[in-house]
Amino acid sequence: MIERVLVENFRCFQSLEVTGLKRVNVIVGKNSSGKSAFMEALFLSSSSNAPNAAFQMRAIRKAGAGYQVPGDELALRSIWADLFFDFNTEEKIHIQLKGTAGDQRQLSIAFRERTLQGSPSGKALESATAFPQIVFTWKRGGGRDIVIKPTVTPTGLDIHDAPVDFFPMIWFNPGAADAPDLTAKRYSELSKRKQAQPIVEAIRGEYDFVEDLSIEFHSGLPMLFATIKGKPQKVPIGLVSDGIQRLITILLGIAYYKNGAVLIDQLEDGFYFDHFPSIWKVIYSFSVRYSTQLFISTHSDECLNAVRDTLEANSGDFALLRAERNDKTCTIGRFSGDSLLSAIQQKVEFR
Amino acid sequence: MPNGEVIIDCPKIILCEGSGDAAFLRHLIEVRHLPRFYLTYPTHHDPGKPGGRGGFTERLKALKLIRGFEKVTDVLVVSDNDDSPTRRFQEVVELIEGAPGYSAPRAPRVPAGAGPRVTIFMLPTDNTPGQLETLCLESCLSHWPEMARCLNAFIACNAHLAEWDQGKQEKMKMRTMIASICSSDPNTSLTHAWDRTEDIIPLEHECFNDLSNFLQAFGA
Repeated sequence: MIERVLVENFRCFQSLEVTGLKRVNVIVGKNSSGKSAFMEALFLSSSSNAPNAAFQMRAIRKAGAGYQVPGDELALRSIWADLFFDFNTEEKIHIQLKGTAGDQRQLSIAFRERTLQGSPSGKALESATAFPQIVFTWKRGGGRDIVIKPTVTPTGLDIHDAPVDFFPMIWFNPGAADAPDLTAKRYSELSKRKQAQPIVEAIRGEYDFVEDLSIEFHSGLPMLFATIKGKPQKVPIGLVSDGIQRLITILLGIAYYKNGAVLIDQLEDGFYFDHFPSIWKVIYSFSVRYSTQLFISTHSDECLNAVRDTLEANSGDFALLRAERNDKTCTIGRFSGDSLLSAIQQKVEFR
Repeated sequence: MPNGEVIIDCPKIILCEGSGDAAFLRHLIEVRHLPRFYLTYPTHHDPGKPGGRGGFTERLKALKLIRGFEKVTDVLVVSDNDDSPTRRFQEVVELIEGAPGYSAPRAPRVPAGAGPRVTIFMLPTDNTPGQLETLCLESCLSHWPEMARCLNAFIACNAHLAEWDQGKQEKMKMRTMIASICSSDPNTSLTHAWDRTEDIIPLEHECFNDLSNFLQAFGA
């Protein structure tokens, strides 16, 4: 479980250290205070697919995912500049995660001079593409470094090494639903291991008109279907309800990324308000069952108030992280689950 | 300001027992031109959790999450002695100790800890049984002296009232005084007593001097 996060020169964070992270970390903060950037820092450090992920995040943030092959150093730097604090690509990005078991992993992102191939005469070859390149380097405690030097090509990013997920982590963003076949795949993996029943029971408990879940083929693709009370045939889960689909996706993520972490941006998205208390309860129980750490952001007062029952019984497993924008940089304040509970009970505004 | 608190905009906080105390302090500060404080008190909205003095621990913990708390230098906890100054002070100490990050004073008016310092002021004053109403009643009766005799007669006519302790009697008297003076709304509570046109509880009365002088020094 991640206990401490150190971030330097990344997005809105010049230098950030957050300690005392818990099983469930509730993230609040005003717009543009660094909530998403904090989750991005966690996410990028978990996978060597980070270069692609960085571009996907740009698309999720509706900042455009397109780019042209850079013709010069300035153009290349500008493609990646939004990852760097104050767009300063001269400084190195450093993200370090420390676990409760003493494990540690780091990601650094920096522009480095290319190593030019030597000519027969021993002199470096001059080339039009001899400007610096961006280098992603992951260091894992004891393991070999993973170094990726993505190249921007007309067809996308060229990443020579095969992407490796060396820490199981997934990010659920309200603007980007999982593909139906991916949900089906995860469900199928659990079902094959006879571990899908808790998902079915959780959905039944939350939505009593759902009798069962199953994988069926729809237009040639595997898809998760629901058996609905009183309906003559099964229904693709996406057609039943956005909320049900999202809850299944989240629970599958928690189960599938066992011993890892799940990032949920804007938990309230898609759910009717009276489901919030039981959704917190089932999400928490899944995180305990699968030893999955949660990072959950929300803007919703209703959603935060609804965590109270779960919090009362398990405050030691919770932390509140509040992102703040200052004049120059963003920071994150960390509060205990006990303080969070008091603030909810006392109805103070802390978002 | 118990609900919807968005930002603590003053480095010195007064935490009192409830809305009546907060209204009294707010008007005392205004009338006597005392320094500005951030006034707060525990809420009663959760049936499972105590408001009033019993909610001090939860309120102190919750305050830390309100923006601006990082600039708070001092917290003054104002509470009633009731029938036992020693016991009530000790109760307040234990409630403060229940909130991590706060230091509990060893005696009234003596600050403890740092970041923020915590001070306790017991009403009506140190080592004297009573509560806020003790002071308010003294002020009110001095302004409406003819009512004192009637109040005592009322108590004498109702034998069970004589069995009430002094604190309960003072609260009953105070409510009776407000109801009988406040012709615009006899149902007015202590919380709104200073919002009426009648000068029910004059805050210039000397009985408030001790508290007022303390707040002046505390806020300086």
